[in-house]
Amino acid sequence: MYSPTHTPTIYHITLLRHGESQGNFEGRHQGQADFPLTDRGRDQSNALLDRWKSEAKEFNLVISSPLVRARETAEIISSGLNIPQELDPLWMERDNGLMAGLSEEEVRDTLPQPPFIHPYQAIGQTGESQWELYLRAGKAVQSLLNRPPGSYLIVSHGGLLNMFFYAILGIAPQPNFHGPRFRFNNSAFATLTYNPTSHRWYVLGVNDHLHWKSEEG
Amino acid sequence: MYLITLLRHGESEGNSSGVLQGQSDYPLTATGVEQAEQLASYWKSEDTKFDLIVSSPLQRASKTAEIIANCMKVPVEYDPAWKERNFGRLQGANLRELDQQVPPVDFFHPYEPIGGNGESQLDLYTRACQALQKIIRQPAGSYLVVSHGGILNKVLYVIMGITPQGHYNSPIFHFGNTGYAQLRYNSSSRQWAVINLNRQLSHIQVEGLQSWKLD
Repeated sequence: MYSPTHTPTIYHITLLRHGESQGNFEGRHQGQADFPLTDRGRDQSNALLDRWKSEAKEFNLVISSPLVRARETAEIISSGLNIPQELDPLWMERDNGLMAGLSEEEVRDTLPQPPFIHPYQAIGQTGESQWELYLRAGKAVQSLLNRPPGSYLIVSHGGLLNMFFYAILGIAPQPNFHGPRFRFNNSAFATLTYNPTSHRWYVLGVNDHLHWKSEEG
Repeated sequence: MYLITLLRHGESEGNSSGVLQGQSDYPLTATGVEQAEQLASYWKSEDTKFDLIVSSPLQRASKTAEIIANCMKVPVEYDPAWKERNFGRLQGANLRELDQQVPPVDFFHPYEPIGGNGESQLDLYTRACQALQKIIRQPAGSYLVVSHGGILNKVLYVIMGITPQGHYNSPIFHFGNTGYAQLRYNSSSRQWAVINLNRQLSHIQVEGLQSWKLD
């Protein structure tokens, strides 16, 4: 029988999106612009911590994007569960070029809106193309699997985590933002296992936010 | 806009006794009925709306659908396209004894009928394409599909653009009993959003089909 908790050869990977940030609250394209968590974002992270405490959840290591919205979320979880934490810039959000920190309206007013966007095209004129983001997500997958099997919590961002899914599921970047979009609410997580003896990825759940009821369902 | 909820049936007699069911027909257990009732009353309390429920005619799915339909007052249609994979001669096998019955192979390809005369991965994938297409050809709205773990995996492949691979080289999307996935399809931009996968409400969920070994 499949029994992840008794098999030391399996990777258990939890992909967590940061709590609500000031940039989320103001509806800004953040990219690598560095906004702190809001009080609500801290409450979300603490609600998740309480949930994982009650579930006796265990991780060997927390790996976080160094952007402050992810790092603050990671610190709440890692200090609450008493788990070591590392920062790794591979897990940062997409560099969105000149869009960084701008509102929807500012993007519309100041940047050209190309009618067609191919996957190799720099976003926000100077940012990462979708393909570059996908390649970085591939490196992130590789760096994770260079570590020994165990239970890892990754604290990162919606854009990068979407490309992590593309990398493991075998979906290539597509033009014009086509291709499926995996929703990650603030403080929502996805759970995966990887068996290196069979190369089997197992997706146990996506966008779990049962600790924080969402207005969007 | 289409909102499509893909639901796996509640716990069946086959699940609780560890049988590889496929298209063999096992009823829900008392736990399975309770799971369906809990989910139905949760959805009702959340004011969730479905325009139509489409269900597999296998009774573990059709009973789950019926419980939800009665509670939420939604019409149900039955469509054999949503039945579980035909596992051929493996149907009815005990999952714990499967290792002995089916010796490990070096490689299996996606065109190979499972269990001698069952559906290959590609058979299942093409059936999933057609089942999904029938929903998309209906008017935009909110649809609940009540079906099975194996075929729902292939529906997710179709939506995400993943083709069946040989051997174990394709991902498995886990669905617990009454675990569900919510997807949104925007028919003008032709974009799919995966709102969640394997959302589960109840702590009485039981691990079901261990298809990770068979796929």
